[in-house]
Amino acid sequence: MPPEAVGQSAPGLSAQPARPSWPARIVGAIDPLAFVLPLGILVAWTGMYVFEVMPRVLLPSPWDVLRTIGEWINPDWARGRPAYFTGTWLNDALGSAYRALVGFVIGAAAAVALGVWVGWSRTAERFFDPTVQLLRPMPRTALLPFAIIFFGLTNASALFLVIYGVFLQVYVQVVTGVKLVGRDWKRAAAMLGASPRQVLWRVVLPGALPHIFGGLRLGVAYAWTLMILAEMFAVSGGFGYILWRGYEFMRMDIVLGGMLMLGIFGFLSDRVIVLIGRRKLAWAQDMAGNRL
Amino acid sequence: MTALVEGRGLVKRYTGASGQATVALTGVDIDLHEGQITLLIGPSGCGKTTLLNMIAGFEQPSAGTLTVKGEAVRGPDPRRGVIFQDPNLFPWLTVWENVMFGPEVRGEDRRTAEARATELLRMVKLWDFRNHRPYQLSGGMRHRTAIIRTLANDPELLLADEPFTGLDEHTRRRLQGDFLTLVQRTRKTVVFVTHNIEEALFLADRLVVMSPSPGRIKQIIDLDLPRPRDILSDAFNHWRARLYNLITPDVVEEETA
Repeated sequence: MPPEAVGQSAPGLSAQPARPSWPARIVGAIDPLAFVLPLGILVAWTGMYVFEVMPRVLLPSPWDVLRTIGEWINPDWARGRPAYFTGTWLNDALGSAYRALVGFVIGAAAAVALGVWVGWSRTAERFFDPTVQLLRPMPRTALLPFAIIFFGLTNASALFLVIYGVFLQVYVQVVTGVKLVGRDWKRAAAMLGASPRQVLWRVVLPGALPHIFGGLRLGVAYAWTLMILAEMFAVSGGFGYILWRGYEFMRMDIVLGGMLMLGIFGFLSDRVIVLIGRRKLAWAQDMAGNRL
Repeated sequence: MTALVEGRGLVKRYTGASGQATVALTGVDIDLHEGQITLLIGPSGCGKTTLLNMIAGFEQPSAGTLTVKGEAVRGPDPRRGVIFQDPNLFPWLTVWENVMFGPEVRGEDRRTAEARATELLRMVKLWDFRNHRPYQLSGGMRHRTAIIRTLANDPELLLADEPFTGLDEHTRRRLQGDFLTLVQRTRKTVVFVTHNIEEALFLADRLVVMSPSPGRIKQIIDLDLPRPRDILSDAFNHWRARLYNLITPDVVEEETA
């Protein structure tokens, strides 16, 4: 009788109301308070433009920036004044997202694998950790010239920089998380008959997940940062490239448009990780009595 | 009666951070008999938890021999189930998954294990909560889950380290009753650590009274109080006084030391 029953909710106890459809849930999740500060900044910006607190060439209006973004997305909206960025938005977005997210996934996966190993095995720690700790204080951005010389002005340079930076960021959190998994959980698993390997997979890894999750959030933000740097100097395409050209042409509308896009994409990728975290870390949220 | 666990000349020394050695346990000889509930009782620092951890295989003796069924204890073993002071459940698993953890990692036959887990969960009225995670339960329910998780492995020996400390008096008494019922129904051999005199007298077939600095056995008492035991009876109160007088001087000594 139990196998059929397992996985279902116990009658009458954990019965939850039917889940609303996803658009309704998104609307329901929007918090009006979150919009107050951004709206205030927008009003201040508009005010500075209207009263010309700064020269208008240095601080374009919000609607100028929006029109520029429009031209960037759709060449038909350029109305006879095409520029280097006209209609390239989709390619830039795909290129930037590819570099940031592929780099993030590879760097984070490597960090989790090596971090778990180093956190678990004293021998692995003695072998790997000193080298990682030597590399870590060096600013990741300092590797850009090295990357360009080694990989040329290509995607590979950008990917190398992102993977390397994300790896170091996530690695530290993974090692910390694995080391902080309580002795008592491991003892409980051992006395229940778990082999060391089972303890690692079934107890240490889930137990380290809150720290790993924190590392992934830092890592994804870092992926966008390093991707932009690489695009400014090593790749001819992507948000970073558009933004830097805009600076060189003194087109502040493009610079601000590029910044806005980066903000939106960075925010969305962080949200994805948070949503996964809310599901996978329901237990840690129970323990803390808080939601992520 | 056969001795299930045999300890001879057990010593445990720890080396502190500053290098000086502390003796947690010295010269302990102990026999634990099949089917008996043995209570280790004494004030803090008497080595009762150390002794239990050695039987569990979490710690190795510095000297002496410790065998279970004639076999030296080398490490934790599912035949010796432990109930910890903190329920120590895996919070990412549901009650059901916690209880099935042992049978799963040991590769036990699913049907047998699930039937046993179901029966145990029903016995302690946790069946309806099987899909809850530990932190959605009350403290008492978490302790019951922990006991069931250990019993689901059907161990030969049940080791309990002050499992009900920190619970309120009423929950504690209920759990003691539940625990006794489970142990009697499943006919387990039990070693139970406590510093609570009433708990010891309520549960014990045999009392091992220990004293501190350094930890050693002071007296072993076979308790002939009839069951079910009434904690308000004269006989119970007589034993309460006797045990109190046996343990209290050591508490003072430890505090002034």
